[in-house]
Amino acid sequence: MALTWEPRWEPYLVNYAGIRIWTCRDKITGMIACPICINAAVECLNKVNKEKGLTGSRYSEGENTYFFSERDLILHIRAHYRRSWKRARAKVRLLGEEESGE
Amino acid sequence: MGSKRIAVIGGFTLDEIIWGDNIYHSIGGGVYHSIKPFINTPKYTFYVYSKGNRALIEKDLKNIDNIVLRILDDTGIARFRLIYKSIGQRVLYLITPPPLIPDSIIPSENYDAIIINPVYHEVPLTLLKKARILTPVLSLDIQGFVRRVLNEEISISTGYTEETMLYADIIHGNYNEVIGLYNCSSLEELIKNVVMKNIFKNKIVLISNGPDPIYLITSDNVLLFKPPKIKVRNETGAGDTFLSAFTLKYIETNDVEEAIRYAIGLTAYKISGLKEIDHDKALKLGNKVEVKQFI
Repeated sequence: MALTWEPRWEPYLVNYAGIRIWTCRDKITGMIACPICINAAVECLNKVNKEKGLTGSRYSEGENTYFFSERDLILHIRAHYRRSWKRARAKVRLLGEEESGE
Repeated sequence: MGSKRIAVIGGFTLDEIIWGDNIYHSIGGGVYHSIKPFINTPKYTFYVYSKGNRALIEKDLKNIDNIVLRILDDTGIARFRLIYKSIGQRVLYLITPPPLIPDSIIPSENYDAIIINPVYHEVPLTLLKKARILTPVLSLDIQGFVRRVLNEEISISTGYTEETMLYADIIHGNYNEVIGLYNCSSLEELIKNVVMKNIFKNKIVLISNGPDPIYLITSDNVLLFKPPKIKVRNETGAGDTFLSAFTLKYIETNDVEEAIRYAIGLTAYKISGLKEIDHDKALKLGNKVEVKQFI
């Protein structure tokens, strides 16, 4: 016997403060997933054909993010915009560290 | 192969243990006893999520390579008094309850297994749901969900909501806790009911009770394992160690029987007071354990 619990995603329309976003919601726990983090288009929205080799990001290296409230999800999606800026700054720091270490 | 990522959630405690004329104090709690035998075992990395007096908790567990502590600092820590009458017979008193652990404590990262081991209702349902979604294997000790307090003495509440159990893959409790949870008069009645009603479908249920036989209930079988006879020096946390050992071996081998044999062996070594636990010897000891079918 092997336990292999997986979320059971269903399409879910987030409608918060005039923002409408389709994403996935787990049927068991009721948690809403970030559509960017889990790649909702592949995972539950059937927008991309899985046979093309594209898969969702469950159990991949990246962070998946789940929420109980629509508000928290919207705030998280807004934070995605800031993440690229953080990464850029981190790269500059790494280069600086390498230079000082030589 | 990399280290397995294991999250452990629950409260730490400050225990006053009374055994005969001897009184001593110790850090404890389900979380503490779950990770203690696996300190410096590099094949597992433990992410500990808890809330309480950080300085006190970190005293024993700081600077250990395979333990990542994520403790929300709080002035309070749960305090228990454990009075042992004989082996397997103890009375528990709750002096101070633990602070509630918020669901925001656990980041949305994936884990190979999550062990939830509360001491007294400090893990809310939202945290349990969040943990559920982050792992393929969720282990749950029911002790901290079914306890109630009357005049500081801990007893078991009956007819507790079973919703908590829905989210778990591996469930552990002692005889009284499981009987209380399902409002049955005896373990035999409970097993007959659960097997007939298929309540534990696709779950593994472990029921232990000190030196008494351990029940292993799966969807299609009920087995009884007789623990080895050993000299007990300190049995505090035996059930917690048993659950974590079972979970870790199970995610490694996918073999229920090997996992329970290892867990029995490891727990026996722990309660016999050995400081250094040999994990291979634990499995060898477990392999000698007698097993029989429940009829």
